[in-house]
Amino acid sequence: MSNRVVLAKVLVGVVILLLLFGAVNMVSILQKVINPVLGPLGVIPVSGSMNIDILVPYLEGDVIVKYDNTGIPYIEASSPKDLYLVFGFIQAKDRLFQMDLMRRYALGRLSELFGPDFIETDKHFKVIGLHRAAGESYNAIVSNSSFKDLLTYMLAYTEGVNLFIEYAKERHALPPEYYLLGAEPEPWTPVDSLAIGRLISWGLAGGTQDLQLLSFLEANGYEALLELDLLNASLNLPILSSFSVSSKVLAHTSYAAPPNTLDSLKELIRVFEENEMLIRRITGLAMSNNWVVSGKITDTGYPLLANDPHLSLQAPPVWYEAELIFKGRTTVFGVTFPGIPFIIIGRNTHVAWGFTNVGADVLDFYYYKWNGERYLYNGMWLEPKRVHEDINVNNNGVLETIPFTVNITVHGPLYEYKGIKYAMQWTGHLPTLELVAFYYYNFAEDIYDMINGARYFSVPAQNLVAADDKGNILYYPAGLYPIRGNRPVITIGDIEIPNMGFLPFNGSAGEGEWISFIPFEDIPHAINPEEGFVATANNRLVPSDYPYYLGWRWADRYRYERIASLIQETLAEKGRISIEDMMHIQRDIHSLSADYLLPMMLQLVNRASLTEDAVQALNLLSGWDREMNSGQVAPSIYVAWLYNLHRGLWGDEAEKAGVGVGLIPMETTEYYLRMAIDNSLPISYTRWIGGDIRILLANALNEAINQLKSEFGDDVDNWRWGNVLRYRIKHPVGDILSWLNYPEYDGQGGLYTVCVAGFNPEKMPYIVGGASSIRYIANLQPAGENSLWGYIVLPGGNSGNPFNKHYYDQLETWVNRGYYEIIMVGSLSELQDFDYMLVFRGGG
Amino acid sequence: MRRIIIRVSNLVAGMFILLATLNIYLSGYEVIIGAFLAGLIASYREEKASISICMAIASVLLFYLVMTAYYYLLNPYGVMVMFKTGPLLYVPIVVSIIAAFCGGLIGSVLYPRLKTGSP
Repeated sequence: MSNRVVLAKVLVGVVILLLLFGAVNMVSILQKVINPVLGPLGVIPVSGSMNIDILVPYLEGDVIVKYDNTGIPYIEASSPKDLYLVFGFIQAKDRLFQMDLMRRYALGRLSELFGPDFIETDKHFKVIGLHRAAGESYNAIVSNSSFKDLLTYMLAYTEGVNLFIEYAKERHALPPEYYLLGAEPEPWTPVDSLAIGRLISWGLAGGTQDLQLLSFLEANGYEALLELDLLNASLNLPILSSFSVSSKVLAHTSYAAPPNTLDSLKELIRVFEENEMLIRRITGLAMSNNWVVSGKITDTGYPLLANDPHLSLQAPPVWYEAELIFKGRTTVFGVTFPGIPFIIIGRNTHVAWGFTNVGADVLDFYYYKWNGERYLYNGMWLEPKRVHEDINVNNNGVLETIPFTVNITVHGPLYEYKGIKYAMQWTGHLPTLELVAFYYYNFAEDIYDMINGARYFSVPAQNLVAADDKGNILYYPAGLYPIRGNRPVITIGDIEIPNMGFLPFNGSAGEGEWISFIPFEDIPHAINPEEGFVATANNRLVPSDYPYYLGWRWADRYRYERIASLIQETLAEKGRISIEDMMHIQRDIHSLSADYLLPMMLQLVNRASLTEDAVQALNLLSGWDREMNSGQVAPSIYVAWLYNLHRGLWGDEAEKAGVGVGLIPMETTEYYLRMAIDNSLPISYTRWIGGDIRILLANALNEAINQLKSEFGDDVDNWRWGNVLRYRIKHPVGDILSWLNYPEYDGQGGLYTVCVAGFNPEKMPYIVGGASSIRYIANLQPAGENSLWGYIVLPGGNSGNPFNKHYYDQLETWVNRGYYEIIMVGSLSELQDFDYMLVFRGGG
Repeated sequence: MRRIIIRVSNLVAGMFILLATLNIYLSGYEVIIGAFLAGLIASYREEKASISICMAIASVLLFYLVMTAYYYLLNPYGVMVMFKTGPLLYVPIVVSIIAAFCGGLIGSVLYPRLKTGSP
C-alpha cells in the first residue's frame, strides 16, 4: 500500500471521528435516555423474584414495598415516619418529573427549564403567589405544636424524595425527561408539597369568572343577569332540599362598574386565561361526581361510596395510587397528587371518602382609585406592598435573571395589564391547613373523625362525601366561604340585586370587604339523611332561600339528576343497591340533556329550511336511544347541533364581551327552548335570540352536517361518535416526542353524561381534555366480614416512566369502563401475588 | 478454522470493549471512543480494508444485538418502547457504526504495518 493511500485512509478516519465528536451533545443526551446498561431502564426492577436492598441509615426499622401487577406500591412500616420517608422515595421513583413540573407551575419557575416562552406564565403565577401562600401555610404548621406529628411526616416525606434524587443521580437513572431537557431536579422541600396543593386549589377557584361576567354585562346589558337566568339558575337542582340557619342581613350601596374600557377588560381576561392554560391541563373540567348510599338501602347493609373526579387526562395521570400499611394501626389506600404525602381520595380500614368541587365563589376582584403609584383605601392613600420575585430564564443553556415585582394591596396581589389593575382576594391566600385535614382523613375511624378533619379544610371548598363501617354516611362541603359586607346593589327596573361577590368590587369605596366566613356548623351538610343517599355533581348545594352566598356558577344539573334518578330507579326496581349498581351508575353514558333538549329541538326546528342531509339526520335523531356510545352516529349530530345552537343563541353576545360562549350555561339554552315551546318567551327576551329560534335551529343543524361532512367525509358511518370524540392523552412534551403519548382510543360519553367526556366543541375531532381521572367505588362492609374493598381504575398507568410496563397498562380497561379490584391488606405477608419487592433497610 | 476462531474472538473482544466503555461514564464521547476502539480491536490482524471495516461494524452490531436480547428478557416492554423512540435509538447506533468504521479503516492501515514493521 502506498504512503499516499495510507495517509488518505488515516485522514478520512480521523476526520470522520472528529465530525462525530461534534455530534457528541446529541448522542450524550440520547444515550442517557436509552442506555440499556444504566439510564432509566436501570431503575426498572425485573419482575418476580428480584429484591433491591437500599440502605437508609436514618430509618428506625426496615420498610418493605411490594408492587402489584398494576404498578401500585404497597408500603409497610411500623413507624409512620419511616413509611412517609419511603412513600416520598417511591413517589419520586415513579413520578419525579411530574412532581417537579407541578411545583414549577406553582412556583412560577417554568422558564428555568423551558426558556423564554414561559416568562409570562411565570410572571402570572408569581403574581398569584401560590408559593407565598404555601410558605405561610407551612409556617402555620411549624408554629403549632399540636401539628408536630404532621410536620414530622412531611419532613420525612421530603427526605424520601431527596433520597431518590440522589440515588437516581448516582446511577444516571433520573426520569428520561431530564436527560432529554438537559436538566436536573432540585432538592424537594415541604413548601413544594403545599404549593402543589395550592396549585390544584387555584385551578378549581374559577379564574376570571367574575371579570368575564362583568365584561358580558357591560357589553350586553345587566338585564342578562335575569333574562339569561345567570344568577337564579332556576333549572338547577340542589344537593340538599333544605338547610336552615338564622338569616343574616347586610347593608348595601349602589353598584358602579369599574372605570375600565370594555376593550381593556377583554384584553386582561384574554391574557389572564391564556396564562392559566397550563393549570387547566391539570384540573381539566374542574368538576366531578360523587355519591354515598346508606346501608339502609344497600344489599350488604353497609354503605357504598363512589367518586370520579373530572380532572384532565394526561400522561402520566394526575393521580398516583398507593397503599400505606401502618403496622398495627390501619391501612390506607387511594390516590394522591404526586408531591403530596397523604392520600387525597380513598379509604382506610374503616372509612371511605371522596370529593367534588363545590364551585364556590371564593375569589374576588377589587379595583381602586389611583394617584400615581398609590391607591385609595379607607380614606387613605396607600402604597402597595412590593415583593421582589425575580424570574430565572434558561436562554440556550445560560441562566439569566429578569427582575420582577409583585404589588400587593390590602386585599391581595395586584393583577396588572396595560394600565388595568385588579387586586385578587382568594381564600387560598390565607395560611390554610388542608394537609391537617387529610392527615385526619387518612387515620379517621368514623365520619365524626372526618368532620373534625373537615374543620381544617379551607380551600378549595369541596363536597366531601364519606361513609364508615359502622353504617354512617356524611355529606359536608367543607371550606371557607367568605361573608362580604357593604355589597353594592345592581338595579334592573324595580329589581335590586346585591353584588354578592359575582362582580368586582370598588376596593376604594370599601365594597365587598370580607367580614368573616360562614360558620362551620352553618355550612349545609347532612349526616345519615332520611333519603338514604347524597349525590353531588357540582350542582348548587341548597335552594335559594339559604341565607348565605355560596356562589353563582353551578354545573348544569344533568349529571346530578341522572345519578339521583338512577339511584331512585334502582331502589324502585330492586329495593336495594349493590356495588354492581354503583358501577352501572358510574359508567352511565345516557344523555339526560338529550332527553330534555332534543325533543324540543326536534319539535321547534323549521324543517323547510333544512338541507336534505339534515332532514335525514333528524330521522336518525328521532330514533336515537340517547346513549353516547362510540358506535352510534346520532351523538355526533346531536352534539354538533346543540353546540351550534348554543353558539347561535349567545355567540354574538359572548364575542362582544370577549368571553367564551361557555360562560352561558346550557340550562339557559334549555330555559329558552322551554319558553319557545310554551310560547311564553317575553318580548324583551327575544332580543337575545336575534331572530326566529326555529330558523336558528335549522341553521345550526345544517351547519352541524356540513362540519361533519367537511371533517369526516360524506360516508355517515365515519361520523360515529367514537370517531368524532377521541381520547388522545399526551405527555407534557408529547408534541415533540410523540412516543411519550398514550395510544389513541375512541371516546364515549359527553359533557353531560355521568361518565363524562369534556372537550372543546369548537373544533372537530373533539379531543377529550377532561374526564374521570379515576373511577373509584368503596364498599364499607367491615374487615372480617368483607373480602371486597372496592374498585378503582386510572386513565393510564401508575408509573411515569415510559419504559415501565405500568406506563399505561390500565388505560384500555378505563376506556372500556372496566375496573380493578382494590386489595387491602393488614400486612404485606398477605400480598402473595406481586411483581417485585424493594426492601429499605434501616440503620437502627 | 483458525482464522474463523480469531475473527469470532475479535468480534467478541470488540463487543466487550464497547460494553466496558459504556459502563464507565455516560456522555456521548464513550460511545464514539468505545465504538472506535471496538472497531479497532475487531479488525485486529485483518489486512484487507473491506474485511477490516466489516468486522468493525459487525462487532458493534453484535453488541447491540446481544444487549437488546438481554434486556428484552429482563424488560420486554421497555425494549419495545425503545424501538418507538426513533432517532433517540437510531442516532447512537449510526454514530457508533460510523465510529467503528473509522476504527476498522485505521486498523486496516495499522495492522499490516505492525506486522511487517514497515514505517
